[in-house]
Amino acid sequence: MRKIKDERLILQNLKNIRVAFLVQSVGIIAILLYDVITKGLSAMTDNPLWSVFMVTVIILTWLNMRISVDVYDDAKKKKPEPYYWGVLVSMAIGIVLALLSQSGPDNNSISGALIVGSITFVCFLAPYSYIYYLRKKRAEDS
Amino acid sequence: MKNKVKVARVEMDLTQAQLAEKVGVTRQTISLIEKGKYNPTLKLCLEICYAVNKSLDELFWIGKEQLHEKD
Repeated sequence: MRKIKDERLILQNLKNIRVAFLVQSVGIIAILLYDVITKGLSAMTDNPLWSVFMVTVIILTWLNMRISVDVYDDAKKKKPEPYYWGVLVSMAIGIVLALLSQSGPDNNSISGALIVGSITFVCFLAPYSYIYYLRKKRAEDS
Repeated sequence: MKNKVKVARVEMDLTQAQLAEKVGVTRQTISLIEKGKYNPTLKLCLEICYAVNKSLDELFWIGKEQLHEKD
């Protein structure tokens, strides 16, 4: 197969891939839905297609952050908020969820609550850090 | 979008295929650009300009009212 150099065809190729991705995603969702209906939720999450679907969603979300940063770009704001704000907010959410998991109906042990809290902290801090990095880079570029 | 690529190409005595080869695209792309059915990137516009010895202005400039006209 020859390498495509024509920009119009490269664009067309990307559009074709988008259609194929859409069809594939619809297929995966249909299979997972069938699993939920016939065998239940746990059977669905046991299906390797579930992992594929989740990994795809996560990758797409991460890649789309670059778009979101541009779409919500506020020209009036010269500097992004200080980084520690994000760290503090992520920490606060982590602590709240850790407390909830310990005192809530699940009644987790302290180590369980710590794990819940730290995972939540990382889950909030990681995307915030990436968005902060992108915003800072954009601010430096402009 | 309207342009003067076809006129410039004929002036240079080039066929669509020859121009396509010079700028590194397919003949169909040149054909679509000439018909105004494909908007090339700035890079390709410049490649075409170099190939036919014209400026961007001469080949691709159009008035504001023509910009929103349907081809």
